[in-house]
Amino acid sequence: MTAKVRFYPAPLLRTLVAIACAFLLTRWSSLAVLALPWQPEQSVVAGMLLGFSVFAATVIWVFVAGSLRIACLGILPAGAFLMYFSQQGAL
Amino acid sequence: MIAPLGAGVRQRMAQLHRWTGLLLGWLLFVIFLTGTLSFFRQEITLWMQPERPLVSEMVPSALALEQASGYLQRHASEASHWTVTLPNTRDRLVHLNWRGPHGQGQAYLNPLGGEVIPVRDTRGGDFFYRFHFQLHYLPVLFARYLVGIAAMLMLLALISGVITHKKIFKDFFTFRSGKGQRSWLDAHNGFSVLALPFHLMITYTGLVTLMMLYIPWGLNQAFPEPEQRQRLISDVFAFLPAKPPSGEQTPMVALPTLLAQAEAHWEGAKVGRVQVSNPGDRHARVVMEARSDQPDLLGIRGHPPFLVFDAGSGEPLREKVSAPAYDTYGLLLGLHLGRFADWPTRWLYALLGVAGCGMLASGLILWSVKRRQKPGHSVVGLWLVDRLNLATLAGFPVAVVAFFWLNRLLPAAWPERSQWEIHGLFLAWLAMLIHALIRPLPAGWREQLGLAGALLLGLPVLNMVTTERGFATSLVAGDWLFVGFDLALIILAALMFRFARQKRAS
Repeated sequence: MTAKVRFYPAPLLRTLVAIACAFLLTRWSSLAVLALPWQPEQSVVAGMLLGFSVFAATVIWVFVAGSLRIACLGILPAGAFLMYFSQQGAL
Repeated sequence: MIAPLGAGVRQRMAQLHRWTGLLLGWLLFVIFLTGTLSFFRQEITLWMQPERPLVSEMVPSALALEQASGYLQRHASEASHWTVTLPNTRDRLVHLNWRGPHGQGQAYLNPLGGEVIPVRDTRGGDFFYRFHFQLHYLPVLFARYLVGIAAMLMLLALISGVITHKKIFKDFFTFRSGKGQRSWLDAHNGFSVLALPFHLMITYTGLVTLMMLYIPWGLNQAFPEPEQRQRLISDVFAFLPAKPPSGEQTPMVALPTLLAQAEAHWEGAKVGRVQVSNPGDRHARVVMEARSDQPDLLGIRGHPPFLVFDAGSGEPLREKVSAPAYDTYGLLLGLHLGRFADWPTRWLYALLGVAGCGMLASGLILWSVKRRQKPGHSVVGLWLVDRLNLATLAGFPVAVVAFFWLNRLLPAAWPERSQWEIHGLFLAWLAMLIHALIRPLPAGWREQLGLAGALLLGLPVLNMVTTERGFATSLVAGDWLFVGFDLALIILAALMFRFARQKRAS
């Protein structure tokens, strides 16, 4: 039995979504760490170190997900969580 | 039951891997190659300044600093900032830098006699180090962003490459020679899997080195004022914020006294660099910074510990702040820079860096080999990739060797000599690009690889003719740096000739 090869018609759209989501999640995650009860200097450095992993993980997730809709559904709760805490961190 | 990764996931990951690898693959190859050379940054500089005498004796730091301090007081008393790099295991001379209202200067002192060593003007290994993260001829910020994007694409290519791989360990032990596309895939797998932890580490830590530029939001949010951000930076870096002089002359405590105080504070760890701001003024400050190559005493750190003193009273004012996030950052930076490394570790770093170059080169060639076999491929796209592959994978090494040739050929009094060495590198690279565009592909590969081999092989001869530190003389004198450099050139030349011959056979 041979595996059915699927054709993905919109790699450009997926790429754009991946970059936009990765950028936003990275930004929010670096700000969300400021909400942790640490010294600000520590949170800033920790947020930067975390940021690259968040960026890479988001792009990989968008390409791993079976469809763009599933990818966005996965990102939505993470985005909401990070956005909420990024606003807490900004206070 | 956990479902296996579907063909669809692998296919999407393969697509991501292919395009992230290709998009800036040529830039990544150049960054990896110059980054690998940067592990021998000091040795390259020493080779490029053959006027420096061979000093086998390690002069005590206090004596070297006393001589440096005396020289600076005599020749740069007007300067607002002094930097003294003390002798270390890799470079036995004292390096002095100063800057001030009357410009800047530098000198090398022989710590044995205290005399100035006149050396040719060259950027040496520092050029490769700077180039691998900020390129050349481009605005620094733009270049650093570009390098950051390339590094992030590399990180994505590595992760997607692992996910897409079905039989990662089996493939590592497989190499099918002379099988076209299959051989290139095996080579790519071998180079990638062999050094995968290193590739992941060096790419992630590479991003970390410039993280304040790439991820600035937390920093700007927590510390909105520039002075606050400067304070954060001065917690970690041995950095003296510019402070205007008071105008009131005050005698300074002798620098060797402060050096002894710092070394006692670090329980024997040696000082590597000394900075003085506003020397001789009431506002004078001295920073004593430990050497990075003392992992047994200090661990692996990107930023070695430092102590700031009031130069007038000798009072310690502050030291490097140690905290978990800072230390993690320092460790990651230290792993990237590899300054802690002894000789075997340094060579291991270099070999793994070469594996990274091999991974990128085989991946780029694999892309065009695979594409050529696909019916209906884009002729223009393939032509462009083929030419860029040739001009970068064979052409850039030619340009690097041309840089070394120019170091020996340009007269010492040539105006802006160090800049012309660099211009020469880029002119040679441009010539290789033009050659790649006009020559048939197989002949182009043979000629450029052959030229790289010939230039590499000719370099020890040129060195022997133009300096007094040829292979035989260096061997007799026990000058292992020059001996090792010549041997490395000969080995690399043999490799280049072999690649050229393989191209002829194929």
